[in-house]
Amino acid sequence: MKENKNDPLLEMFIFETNELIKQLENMIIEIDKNENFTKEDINEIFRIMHSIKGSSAMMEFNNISNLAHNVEELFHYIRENEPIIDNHSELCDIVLESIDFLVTEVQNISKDEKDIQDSSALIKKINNFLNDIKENRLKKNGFSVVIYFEEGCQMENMRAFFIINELKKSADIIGYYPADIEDSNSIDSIRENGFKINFYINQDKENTKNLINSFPFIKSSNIKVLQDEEFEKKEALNSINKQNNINNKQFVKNLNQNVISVNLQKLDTLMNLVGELVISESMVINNPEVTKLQIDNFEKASRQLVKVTKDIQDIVMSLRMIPVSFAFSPVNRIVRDMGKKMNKKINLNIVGQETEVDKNIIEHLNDPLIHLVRNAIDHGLESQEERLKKGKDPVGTITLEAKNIGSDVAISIRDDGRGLDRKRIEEKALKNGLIEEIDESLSDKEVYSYIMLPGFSTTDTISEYSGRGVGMDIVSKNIQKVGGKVIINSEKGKGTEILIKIPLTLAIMDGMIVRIGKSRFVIPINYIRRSFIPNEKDIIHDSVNNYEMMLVRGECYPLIRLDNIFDIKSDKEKITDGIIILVENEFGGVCLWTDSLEGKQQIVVKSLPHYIKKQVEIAGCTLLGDGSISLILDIENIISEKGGDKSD
Amino acid sequence: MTDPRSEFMEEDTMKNKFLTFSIGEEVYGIEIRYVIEIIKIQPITKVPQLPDHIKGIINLRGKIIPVMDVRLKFKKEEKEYNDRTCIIVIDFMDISLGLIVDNVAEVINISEEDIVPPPNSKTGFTNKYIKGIGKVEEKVILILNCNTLLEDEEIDSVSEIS
Repeated sequence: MKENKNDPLLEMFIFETNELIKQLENMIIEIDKNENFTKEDINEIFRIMHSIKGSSAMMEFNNISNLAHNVEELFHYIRENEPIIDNHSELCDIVLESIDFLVTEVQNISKDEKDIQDSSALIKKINNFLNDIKENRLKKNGFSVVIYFEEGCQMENMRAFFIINELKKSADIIGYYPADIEDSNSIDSIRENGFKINFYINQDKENTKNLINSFPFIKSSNIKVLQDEEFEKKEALNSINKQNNINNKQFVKNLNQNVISVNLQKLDTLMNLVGELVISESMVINNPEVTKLQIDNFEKASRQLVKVTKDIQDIVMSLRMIPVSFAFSPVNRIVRDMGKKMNKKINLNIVGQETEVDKNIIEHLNDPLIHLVRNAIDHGLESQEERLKKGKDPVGTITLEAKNIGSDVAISIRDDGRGLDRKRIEEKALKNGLIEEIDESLSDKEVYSYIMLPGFSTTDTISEYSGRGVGMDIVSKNIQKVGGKVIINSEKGKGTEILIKIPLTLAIMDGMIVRIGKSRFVIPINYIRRSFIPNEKDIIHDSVNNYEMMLVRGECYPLIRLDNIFDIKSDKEKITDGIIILVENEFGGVCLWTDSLEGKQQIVVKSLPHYIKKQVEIAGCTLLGDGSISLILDIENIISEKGGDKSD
Repeated sequence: MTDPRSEFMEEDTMKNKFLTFSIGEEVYGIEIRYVIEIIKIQPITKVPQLPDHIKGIINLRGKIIPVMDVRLKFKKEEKEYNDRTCIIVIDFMDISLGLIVDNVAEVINISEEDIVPPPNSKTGFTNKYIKGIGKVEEKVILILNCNTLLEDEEIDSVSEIS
């Protein structure tokens, strides 16, 4: 236990610095996509670095303040002098490297290991870059050239495209008009008004004119020295992208307004207290002596109490909900970095990031999401050449979508890559000893789920990012921890979809209390279909397999005697003295035999202490109105273990 | 029952204070800094398929705490609970656990010099859970080792879950 773990000043520093770094990272990724640093961007980056420098200097975190200072200097120069930046990508890389350094440094600080890293190499890089810019500034000239192509040369837009590519090698192109030269509609414009290019180059006017005229099919060209006011922004050319960015930025900005950061422990305490409130309210309202009296005014007042308590409950539960965008944001960076490294062009589509989930769930989503996206890029998407050969768009698409379905939240990661190969999966599973034989009767979905078995991997080469066979089963475990499940869909050649379904919140639910002997158990109401007194003739005994079944409305369900499962002595002697509860989910159903029903109650779910080994049939426990503890049955598990298959 | 931990105590000064309790003839001691409170025996909710010495769970002002019968843990004969039976609630490495003991005696000081390490192989089983042997006046107090007490299958399942 570190002493400064609870130091509020340190906590605030870590929180704020992380926020700033996140903001900066998202900004840089957008900038990199647009290949342009606007004035606002430069200002913002300067401001962020300045803040970080200041606060870290105050806390005496030298590594951070030193690095921040250098980056701040770099952007200060850029802001004041507006030099030409040749290499946007390199500048983005520098900032991203700095971000990584800062992130690691902050993590180290929270482990009380400050100033361990060596920033000298990075700082040198920054200073080199700054010097380069300073030098370049002195050398380059700006020109505006209008090119007229020879009559009848056809496909003027392609020729213009060719010229731009050639020119890029020796000049820094600010912009060109018409901008959309890939569209053949631009041909007319080029024919009539010529093709205009603005650029900076390390040559004088004479040499530049010669260079331009050396390109093929040029009839004539006009060259002028570039005035500063002309054609300042590339933004006009990228206006479509910009619109999306603005929407994203607005969304992020809105998140930051009217928000206050709250200590999580206080929230947890509040939630517990609300749970207690629900129980106490129940104790008061359901007190037998009071209900006996049947006082009208009391009942009116208690209805009001129930209403208000429910409202408080709803709001408190929503306090812990935050948008999934927090889990989605690291994905941008991964797509950029991996795409660059593997030379794959990737279009990342994010839908539904405002969907809210409990904070606890977000934490369990982070790692799985990162792993799944990595898989999609590494194994799912083919290389550009392969995609072209298959007739696909060379730019691969990865879609991250989040939406609410019923009481669950569904998050899917889709790629339009090569899809899963059922045969290969079966063979690999067999080879690694994970299955005993290939079962043709299994559905594709069931075979795909083999990839989540520990020790599975179909890549022959283990790449830096994936393939060690540890990833998918960890993903599956993490999701199960929050009560969710992973479903894999795929079509060979077309793509793969990984669907994660997580229940919104398990905290408070409606339950039916049942009694077996002296013990009471809770069954979540939403699974209960019917309850009835059994008839001897409806029960089928399979003495060979020691198995009992019940006929309900013509359908056959396994009969589970709860007193047997939990080893409790029941009060009832004959099976017909008890009550059967039929529970069902989308996969099947079972009949549960109990002594008696005690009534419906709203219950607060508490998880069993970790110290106690988890029992498959128990989902948690709750405190009943009289203070006693009741165990909650895990219907999903009971059905999947013993349930009759609906398809039978 | 008294709450043995006073707010004015520093963690260091708690080091040499032990809460003593008895199981049959033997007197055991546990470091005060792990003890949260002592409560009378109360109804325990059984949880199926647990090892015998883990009796189940109790409700302590809204918190669910598992309870362990120390007699059974030390493989002694099970005894019926009476009104002297107590539950010592301890908090060790973020795990809360209740220890069911025959009765609770007192809080005493045992300085370092008065504690000797346990003999190695002789008495066999219970040694695993004893960190040392303290001598106060003529009494012999077996100092519990919370680490090994909470160990075995229990901590494995904790790390499995986390």
